Amino acid sequence: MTNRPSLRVLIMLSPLLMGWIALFMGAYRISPLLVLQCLVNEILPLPGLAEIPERSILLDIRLPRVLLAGLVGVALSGSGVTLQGVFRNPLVDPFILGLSAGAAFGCAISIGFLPVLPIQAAAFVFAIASVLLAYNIAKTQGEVSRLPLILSGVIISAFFSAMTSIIKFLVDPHKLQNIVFWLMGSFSLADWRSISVSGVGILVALCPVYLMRWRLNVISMGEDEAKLLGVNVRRDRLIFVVASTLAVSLAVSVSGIIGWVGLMVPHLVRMMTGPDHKSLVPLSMATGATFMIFADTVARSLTTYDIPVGIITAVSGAPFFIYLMKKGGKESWGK
Amino acid sequence: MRHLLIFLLLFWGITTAASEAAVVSYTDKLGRSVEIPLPVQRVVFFQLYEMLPSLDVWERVAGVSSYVYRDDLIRAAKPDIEKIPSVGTGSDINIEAVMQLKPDLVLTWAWKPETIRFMEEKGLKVIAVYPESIAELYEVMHLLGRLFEREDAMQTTIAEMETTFSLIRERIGKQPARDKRKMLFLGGQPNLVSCALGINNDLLTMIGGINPAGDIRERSTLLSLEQIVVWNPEIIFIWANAGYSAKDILENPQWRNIRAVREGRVYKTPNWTSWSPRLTMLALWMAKQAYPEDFKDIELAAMADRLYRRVFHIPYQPAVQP
Amino acid sequence: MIRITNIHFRHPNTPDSVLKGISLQARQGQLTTILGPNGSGKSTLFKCIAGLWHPEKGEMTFGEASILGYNHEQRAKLIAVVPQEHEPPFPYSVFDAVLMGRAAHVGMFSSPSKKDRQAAERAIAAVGITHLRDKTYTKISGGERQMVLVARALAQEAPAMLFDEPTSHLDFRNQVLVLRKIREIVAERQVTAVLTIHDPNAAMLFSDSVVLIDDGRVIAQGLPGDVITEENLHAVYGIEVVMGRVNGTMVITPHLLASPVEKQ
Repeated sequence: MTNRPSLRVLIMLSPLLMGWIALFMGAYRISPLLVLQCLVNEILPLPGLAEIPERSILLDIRLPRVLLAGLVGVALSGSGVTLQGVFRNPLVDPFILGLSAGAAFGCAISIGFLPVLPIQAAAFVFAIASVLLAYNIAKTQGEVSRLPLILSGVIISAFFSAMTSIIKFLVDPHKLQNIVFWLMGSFSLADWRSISVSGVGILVALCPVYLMRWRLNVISMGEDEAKLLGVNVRRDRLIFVVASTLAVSLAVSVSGIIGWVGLMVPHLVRMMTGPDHKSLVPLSMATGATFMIFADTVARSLTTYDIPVGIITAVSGAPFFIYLMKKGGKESWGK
Repeated sequence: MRHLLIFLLLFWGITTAASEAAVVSYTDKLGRSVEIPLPVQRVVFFQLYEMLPSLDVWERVAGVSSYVYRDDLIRAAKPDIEKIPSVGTGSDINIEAVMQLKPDLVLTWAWKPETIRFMEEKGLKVIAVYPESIAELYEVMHLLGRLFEREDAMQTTIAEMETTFSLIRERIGKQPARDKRKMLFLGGQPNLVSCALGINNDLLTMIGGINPAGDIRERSTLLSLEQIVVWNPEIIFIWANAGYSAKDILENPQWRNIRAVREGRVYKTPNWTSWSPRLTMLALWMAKQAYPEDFKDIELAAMADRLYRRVFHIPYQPAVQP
Repeated sequence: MIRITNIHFRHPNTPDSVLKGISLQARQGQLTTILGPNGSGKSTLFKCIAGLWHPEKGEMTFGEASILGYNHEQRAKLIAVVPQEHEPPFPYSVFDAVLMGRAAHVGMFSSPSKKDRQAAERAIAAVGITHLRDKTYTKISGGERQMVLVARALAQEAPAMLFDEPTSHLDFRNQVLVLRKIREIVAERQVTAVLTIHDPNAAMLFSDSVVLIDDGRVIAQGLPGDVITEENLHAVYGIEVVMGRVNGTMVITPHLLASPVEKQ
């Protein structure tokens, strides 16, 4: 665990670096020079660039996709680190707790049966419901231990997945296609509209989390202990959970279910720079953005197909989870 | 003695011929071998029901998909279609209702193998279809002909379809190869593109198109928008039941640089199902969009009317398109 | 001064009270020990004073103010609690752990300021664990962890301190070190300190005032020498003891030959 400030600065800047690289990659070959020219053109109009197709591809397709990937990465890892602190459990994330499945179910209901309900609202309602359910199922005598929480998250996740399957079964097969594809998690249709709808919301939702991040240290010591130290645990916990749930719901509503990011990224960052949430929270968010941009760039550049990015995170995430379980040993399964 | 032998021979010949004709053996799309003893008297149709007006075996239809009630062709061909009970849809089969009908055969699509297995276990005979080409469609039609002993009706229908297809191919054939236009067929999502397998690809080829996704050996696949821009199709067709319109594509800045969008050549197909003789209407419609100059004299309504009268035995009545 | 008057506590949905009218006083600059056997209501009393549980009846004041209705934030500014040491889920550094004591002084949307960090440094120095500052809290010994918790409570800069059995998981050396340190802090800073403890010898050695409780009631309260007597201990613990003067203080040893009395 290193505390070098230079490492932290590097991590905070990494999304910009990764995003920058990502702008040069894509199925449509644009020479690096032209990429630069197009970007400069936005600030300082250069002659002859207004109407070339590369400009539109860069600014209408590639840039929003990279941005959205970054924002979703922030949402997922930001909420991952928050939930890990609130539930004192390094093995949870919004996906494992069933949050993503709940949000997806909300989206499916909205698409399938209640188009009058905005997707984001439905996603949020059911995401909150899933967190509450997971928490209450795992609670015994006021405290929630690690293993029961993971298990109840798995149960809730399975429950909402099953409910979504029912929706898929009942819905008009033509609407079914919409639901099925977007449950897989992908940025392929990212545009400026989805950024304005969800991207901004994600940043706003995570503001309280960012500002209150130091208190996660205290809350992670235990509910009673945090109370003794003068923290209004109920209130703070509520804010943390609602804020991260909102961020995740917005992410799911715009890009589908993407798992494992909220688990892996905070862990990696914690191993590199320590568990103090004051730095852990922003560093996790930055690393999440970088990772998501990276994964999405791989997803769209590796083959002709646009691999759903959820597959890439799962392929890297599941083995990582196993590694964590084995390495953590008693620590992970703990009390 | 000789007379007896001849008689016995004839008798053996006839009975074996009769017993062979009494069973139709078929290997369906899921690789299942099914034996259906003839005659079939009670059939449930979840797919291929638009063949019914030409088969004209209404009395042998025990149950139908509820989509049938909304099908404009069926309503025109059999106004009292609702006398035949509906038993769910192909995606959502009401197995109990089906079993209550005690059918000889259930015709459905291969989308949900679990449902088919379930029905099999309950003792139902099921054939699962999923024609992925026009040739396969014909093959399935032949099957229907054999099942209902209406081979000539199906033969006539196929011949009628081939007439239209040949017409299209001939006119397109007049085009030198270099004028083939790049075309994409989009599905439920704008970046879900029809690939090599499936009737859409056959249609694109037939109307003189090149499907850039035609190398991909799938029915359809998701692609990045950049890939679509790279391919730069000249014509874009959109599945009739997609949740978005041609306008959505034409006005979307992300599609701006695609030739088809620049030239305004994005078309959402009318709602004619592919697994039907009306495939010809779809093909003609698409051909007219793709190469209007070669099909100027062809009037869709007239061609449709011809098809309807010859195959369905009713005049053409255009449905109100949504 | 902390004054507790006639506290009753009962778990919800149970008929019997755990605390049946406890009254005690803890003076500033003094170490007041609450002594009693298992099941006497010690931990319940501790939780009530700490504000985790609420008494059914009774009053609790600090100075002139009633603190019964205080929320956690208000209470934390008055009473700093040192719980028994335990392992947190994440490997915080000792400094970060001590810094958490500043929570009551840090605004909801803020992080600790320079002042807070300085308070933490001072607390670490006062407890004498500066050499542990950058070590990982989860990797030091039990005794060291207990000291860190004392430092954390010090960083809280509250006029009263409450210690929950600070020596129960410690070895002999660490028991002595911790209790000595607590005495030192109490004297130096003139805090009002309350300890729960189960060992009569430790109570005798380190307290200024002892409250002996059993079965939810105060049996005796006052100077250690007055409260910790052979009869009181026999009544409360059911053990015959012998007390002898050693090294300027009274030492309690159990009578080896007599058999323990069955407690009613």
